[in-house]
Amino acid sequence: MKTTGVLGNFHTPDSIMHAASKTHEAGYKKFDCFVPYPIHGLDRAMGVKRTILPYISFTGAVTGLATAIGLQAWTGAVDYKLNIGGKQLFAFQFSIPIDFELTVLLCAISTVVGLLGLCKLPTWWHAFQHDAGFKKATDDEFVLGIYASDDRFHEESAIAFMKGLGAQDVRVVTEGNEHA
Amino acid sequence: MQTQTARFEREPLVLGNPSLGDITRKISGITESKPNMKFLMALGASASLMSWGLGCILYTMLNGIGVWGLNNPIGWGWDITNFVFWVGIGHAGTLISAILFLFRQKWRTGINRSAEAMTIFAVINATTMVLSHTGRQWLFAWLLPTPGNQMQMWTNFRSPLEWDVFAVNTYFAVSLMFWFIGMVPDLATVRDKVQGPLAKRLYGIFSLGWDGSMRRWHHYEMAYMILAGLSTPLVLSVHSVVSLDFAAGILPGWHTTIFPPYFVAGAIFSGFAMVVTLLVIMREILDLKEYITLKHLDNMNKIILATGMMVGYAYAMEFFIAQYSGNPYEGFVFVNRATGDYAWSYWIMVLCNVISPQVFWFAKNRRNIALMFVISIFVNIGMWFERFTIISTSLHHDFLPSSWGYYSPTWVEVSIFLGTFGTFLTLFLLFSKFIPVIAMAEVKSIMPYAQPHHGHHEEGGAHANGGGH
Amino acid sequence: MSKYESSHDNMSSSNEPLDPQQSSLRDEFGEGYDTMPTFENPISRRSFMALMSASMAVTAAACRRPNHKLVPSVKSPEYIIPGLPNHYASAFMLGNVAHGVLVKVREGRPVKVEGNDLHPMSGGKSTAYLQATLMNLYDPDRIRQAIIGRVPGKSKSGGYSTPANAINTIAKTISEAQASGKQTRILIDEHCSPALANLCREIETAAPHVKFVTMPSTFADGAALANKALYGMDGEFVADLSKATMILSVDKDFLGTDKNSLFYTRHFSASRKPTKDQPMMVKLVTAEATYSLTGMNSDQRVKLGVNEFEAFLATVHNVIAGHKGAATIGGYAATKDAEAMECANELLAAGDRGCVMVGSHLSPKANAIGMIINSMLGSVGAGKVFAMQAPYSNAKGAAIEQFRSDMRSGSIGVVFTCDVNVMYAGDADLRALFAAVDHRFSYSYYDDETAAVCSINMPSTHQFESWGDTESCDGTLSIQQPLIAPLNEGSLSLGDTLMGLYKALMPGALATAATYFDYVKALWMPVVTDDAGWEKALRDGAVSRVVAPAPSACTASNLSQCASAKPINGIAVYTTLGYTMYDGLYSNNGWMMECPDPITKHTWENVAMMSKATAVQLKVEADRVITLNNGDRSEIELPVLIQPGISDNVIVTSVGYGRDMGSVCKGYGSNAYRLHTSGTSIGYHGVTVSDTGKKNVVARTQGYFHAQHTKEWEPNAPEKKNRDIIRDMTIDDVKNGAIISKEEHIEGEVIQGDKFIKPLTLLSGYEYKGHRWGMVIDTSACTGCNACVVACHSENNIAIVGKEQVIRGREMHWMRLDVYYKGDAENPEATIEPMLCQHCENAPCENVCPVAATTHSPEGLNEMTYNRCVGTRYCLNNCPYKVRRFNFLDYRERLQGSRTPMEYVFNPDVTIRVRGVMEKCTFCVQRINQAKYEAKDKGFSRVPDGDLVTACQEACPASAITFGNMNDPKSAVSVLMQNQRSFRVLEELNVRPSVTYLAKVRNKKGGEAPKESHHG
Repeated sequence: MKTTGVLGNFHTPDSIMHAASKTHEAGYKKFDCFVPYPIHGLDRAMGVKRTILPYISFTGAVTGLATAIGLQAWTGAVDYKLNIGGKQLFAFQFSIPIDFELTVLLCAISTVVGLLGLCKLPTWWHAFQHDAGFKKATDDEFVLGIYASDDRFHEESAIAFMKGLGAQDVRVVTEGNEHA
Repeated sequence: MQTQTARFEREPLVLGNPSLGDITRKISGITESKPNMKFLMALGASASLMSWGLGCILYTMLNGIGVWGLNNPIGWGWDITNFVFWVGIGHAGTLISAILFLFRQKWRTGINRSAEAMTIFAVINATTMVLSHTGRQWLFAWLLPTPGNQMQMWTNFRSPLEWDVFAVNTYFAVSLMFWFIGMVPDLATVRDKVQGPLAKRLYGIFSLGWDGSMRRWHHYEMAYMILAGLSTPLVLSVHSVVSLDFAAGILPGWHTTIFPPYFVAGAIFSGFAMVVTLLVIMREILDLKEYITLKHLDNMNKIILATGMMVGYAYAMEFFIAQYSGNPYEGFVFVNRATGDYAWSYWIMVLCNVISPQVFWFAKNRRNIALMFVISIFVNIGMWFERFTIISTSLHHDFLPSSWGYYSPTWVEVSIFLGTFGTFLTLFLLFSKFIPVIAMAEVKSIMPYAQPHHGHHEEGGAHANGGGH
Repeated sequence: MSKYESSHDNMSSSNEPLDPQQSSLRDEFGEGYDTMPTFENPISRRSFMALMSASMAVTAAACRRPNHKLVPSVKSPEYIIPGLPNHYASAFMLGNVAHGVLVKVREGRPVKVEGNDLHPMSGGKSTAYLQATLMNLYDPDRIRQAIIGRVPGKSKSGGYSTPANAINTIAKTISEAQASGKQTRILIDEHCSPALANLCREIETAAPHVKFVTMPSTFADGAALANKALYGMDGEFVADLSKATMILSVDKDFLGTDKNSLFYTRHFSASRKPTKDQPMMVKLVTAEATYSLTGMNSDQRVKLGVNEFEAFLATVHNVIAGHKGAATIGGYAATKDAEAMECANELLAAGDRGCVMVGSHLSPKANAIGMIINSMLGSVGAGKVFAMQAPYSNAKGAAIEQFRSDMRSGSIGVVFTCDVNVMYAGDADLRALFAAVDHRFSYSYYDDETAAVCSINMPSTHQFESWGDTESCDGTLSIQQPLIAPLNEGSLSLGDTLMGLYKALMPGALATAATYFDYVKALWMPVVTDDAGWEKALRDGAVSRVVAPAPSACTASNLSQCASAKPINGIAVYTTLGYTMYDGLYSNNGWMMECPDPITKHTWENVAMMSKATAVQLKVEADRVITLNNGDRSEIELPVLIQPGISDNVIVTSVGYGRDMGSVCKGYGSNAYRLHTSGTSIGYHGVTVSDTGKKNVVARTQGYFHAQHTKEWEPNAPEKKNRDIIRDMTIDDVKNGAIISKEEHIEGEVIQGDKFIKPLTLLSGYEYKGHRWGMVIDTSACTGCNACVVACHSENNIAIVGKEQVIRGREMHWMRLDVYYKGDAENPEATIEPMLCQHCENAPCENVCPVAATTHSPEGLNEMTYNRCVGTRYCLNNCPYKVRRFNFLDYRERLQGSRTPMEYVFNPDVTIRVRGVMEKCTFCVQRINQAKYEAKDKGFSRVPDGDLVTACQEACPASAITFGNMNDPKSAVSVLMQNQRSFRVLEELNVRPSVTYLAKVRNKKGGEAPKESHHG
């Protein structure tokens, strides 16, 4: 019966917003807000740092461009030389379409892979997901959760703190009781 | 009454101001409901059409391209016409999702999911056409620059067809990722709603365990933005590259610099027309009038009108340039288009693409469901004939009169074309049944009460709970 | 295997006849073995399996003779190096005209026919007929065995037999008939074989009740009768056009359907290539009712009505007679006088180098007037245009009419037809009489219309399977030597058959000659003196002899003995030899069936060609089926084809179609022989025309004949509307040194704008070191005879696709002859432009292939890699010349392609293309490579100019095609490319073709002022 964390539901974007900033001020690190749609400013209120995803995407784009030029130049002008229509073995003019396409392709792939990596997805199992109230987070409620792994975490104080924020149906989620 | 509001005040994007819960129930409700008879019959019909088309492709593979009507001057006919047609259709989807997203056009949220689905399915058709058109279909892998390819050869990167391979595949891959990433939160919503254990499991797998964590939303929004940013130039590039299949040739009527912009405009034109066609049907059948409002349709009709004018301009301009350039071959081909053996297809094209959209100058027409349905069908017909005209007229009378010819399709080609519609409808029906047809998370995020207005907690709360009743 | 032996036997002139056992051995090993060269393709592999199983059956059959041991050859047969061809000289008879041929034999099977340059008549050139005869040789539809006791009209009746048995039966019947006072007639086709003629004479003298009747399907006595009256010479002249400067051809298609066209074309075209320095050029004026190949190539055409020939000739005659103070001819209404007088004056100017050629299907009188004119001009006699007499060209009508009346009188008991197809080509009366003869026997190549009504059918041999000899008008003799053992067991050569018959009739006759081979050799000994001479004759394929004596003086007064033509009122149909079927000899020949008519470009059937006016008058349009009725029990149906240039009220159609046999030809076209009532089948016959209302789409390989920027042909379109894809100039332009090409003008711009254009181009300016192959085609010399088209078929294993596919536009010809008209819509000037892959330096097809299946070789060839091709057809779309051909279906499966022994016809050096790949002219790359190997063996770094000829160039009787290394400034190609007439088709596209064309020169006054020449 290991404790995973404490959950509390809110009913308006404003209240979760308020709660998020309070929790952040209270010094909690390992907490999260679960919301049915992205709420503007909530991430800032939670003190989330700006994502590094753009850099990953950029790397992908550069790789794609290099691959495209390298592929066309090497295959055409180095590996297998063929006189085709009297054209040059390699020229930037005719390489442009594929340069562009491969750049976009690898950029997109790296973006998606990066996203999944950063979000640690897929995560098909998590104790919270088996809490009935938690499921509302994908519907019409806003859930605040503080993880037990937070070093400032103390079950009673966390519950009290959340109640103080006006959270409803504050509860402790423990591993193993998901089937209860 | 509608038109009044349309003109003078900003119309709500979702009618009846439902609560978050209403939205969830409405949309994921569709996926939970049992398929009714009407649905099953439609599915059966389109599925059999699809299999008939695929059967004809198999027949072609077994007997050779000779079972089509193609001949010596005319090496491409309905096959490539259909390819370009479907690629064109495939444009509106990503355009709506990507460009409108970047321009913060909130009205896209009601329609982008189905538009993107349409893109995917259209590109699947396009790929089918291009794969089945070659003389030795089973060797399509040689089109890919893979090491250890036959005779240790590489592909010819000077060939527009090779550019096509990259463009279409990239477009398909990126659109698919874009579509799927956008879908994950909604799949999670459905996962948390459905009862059946199998459904629960499946939606659970595909929603990747999404839980609405704001820390994830933070990355997610950035990823979505980047994908949108990528897709926008991609959309424009794909049809430009497709147009190079012709523009890079030396045939009079093909070898034209106007082609890339002209093809892109045409693609958007036909794509939006197809979206209108589908949405009009969908909002009736799935009863989504609150979510796909007349405002959406109105906006799309405006775009149809605009792009229609662009296409019309292109027709006029290439005709003018052909004469003005003083290139007699070019000049002859265009006169021949309007007066020669294929004049009928040329004038169908002009009628459908240039004349018919003109009715959308009037707001009343833009909001007339029946009318817009008919026009959108016209536009789709017209755009098909545009590609057919470009391909056949340029090929059938080119440089040496000794090798002039004429081309008309056989039943096989016609069947394959109809089959592509079967494929398209089948996939779309399955989509509308099993996937949230409306991006719930996005719609929720644009509800008037969705975003926090600091200071009036209760009010916002009232909204979120009670919804609009 | 054993085919090597048999052909080797024949080579070393062994004299044992082919015994059935040996041929069964051939069956046992031969078929399967010979299929191996084409092993790489799946179809052949399949038919190979089929063959093997068939061979098994034969083996089983062979087991019936256990006393014979099969002894395999343990060392490779003499003379044969697998992979390398042997060339054997022989001669090919077309009617009574001999063509010296050089046959390329690979692993014991003939795979290509080429002209024998040691034979003065063919001079190393050939015709479509020569090229296509291989397809006849390997025709699966040939009669395979003698059939005896056949019930006329019932196929599958009767039983197989040996030739000997059949011959004895025939001899027995003949003797019985003689006993009952009935006579025997043996019908033979016209030929030019001294030995055969000699044998026939011997038999006739020995057995008076047996008479030979020479009865070709197509014959015309006009010339022979006229010459008999004027010169007392029973035969036709063969004009030596190398001595002519002005030709008036009156309805004589000497460049096209004439049997001597090879000889005529060679000399005619030789003098159609004027240069600034030697602007001499023969002038050709044609007066005709049809629109023939000769008319197409003439500098001036005079359209005559069917009844106007004599009148026109009389006018010409009278003008000349006026100058020469000779008697004039009266009694003719004036017709086309202006043209006639102009013509007459030009003939006078040409003096003894002027000649008038009259179609022998015209009346004896017309022919006589023509020859009288020639005599007045002095062009008849030794060393002049008219000195040579065609062998065995005597008038045949009389004998045939005699035969007709003999049959009617019932005095004929037996008729033995040897390669004569009475029931197909004979008129209604003749057919009825023949069918009523008591005993009818046939010796034929196919189970044809006549064989069907004969009780004994003997299979005949191909000329490449048998011994024989030929004689030419210039006296040249040739030996026909077998190049392969008879493919069908139990088929005997005509000579052997007649000898057998002779011996059976007259026991003890020809005791010294066991076979026809001995007979021929014995006859030849006086000529070749000894075995060495014999061997040399075999090797060279030609032995020159003293030319026949010059004709005696012309007695013009005998003109009155010559009959005039019967006037024809209303519509006349001109039945003529087509350009592809000959008299039906090539009916079952896929290559010829699909070889387009050089004028109308229609294939696969005969049509009713007529002028627009006639069509309007008959209220029919193109492809409408009409009925032609000759008023004598027979009528035929033909689709209409509207052809400009044909005189009104004339319908032109060709014989050789509408066969009742053959897997290829059955059901295509109608039998135009049905249209003649009696006498000559070739010529003009009055008919009544009715519209059936049916439609029959004619399969044409070219639908548009104008080179203008207009949908329809505008006869007098302004210059700017012309596409400039064909160029022509007058002889005056040539004299003025006019330059036809615009190329230097274009390049001038490129150079001028170099700094602007260069940075934008993607062209590498690839440097061609070593060889760089190029071709020059002289459209002025080309007569459009189709020899190159069929030669290309034969050399490159090109598939035939069938009528339906041709209608779809899917014919596979790598080489095509485009025809373009200009000027008067009712009497157009034609230009023939041979079109093949141009091997462009900046090939548009190469750039667009996604898999690089078509690329450029370091020697400037545009190469097609068949097994890399996936078949996107983009190259075809992007080819401005539309010379690429796509295998839409598996065409080898169709028609005869895959039926044994048809696969022997394939050239083992050329891949056979599968369905779904693109193909096109390769400049005969297989010949290029072989030439390079040979040059290397000889120690050259380059192929010596002239050592390498492409198939089309080799065949071309006009020598219009030149091929060679463009990098060698002294090569024939390079020199011709500098010619003032040189231009490139669509040069403005800057694709830089490797094929250069020379503009057509028309021998007439006028022409533009000389162009500014940048060449200086």
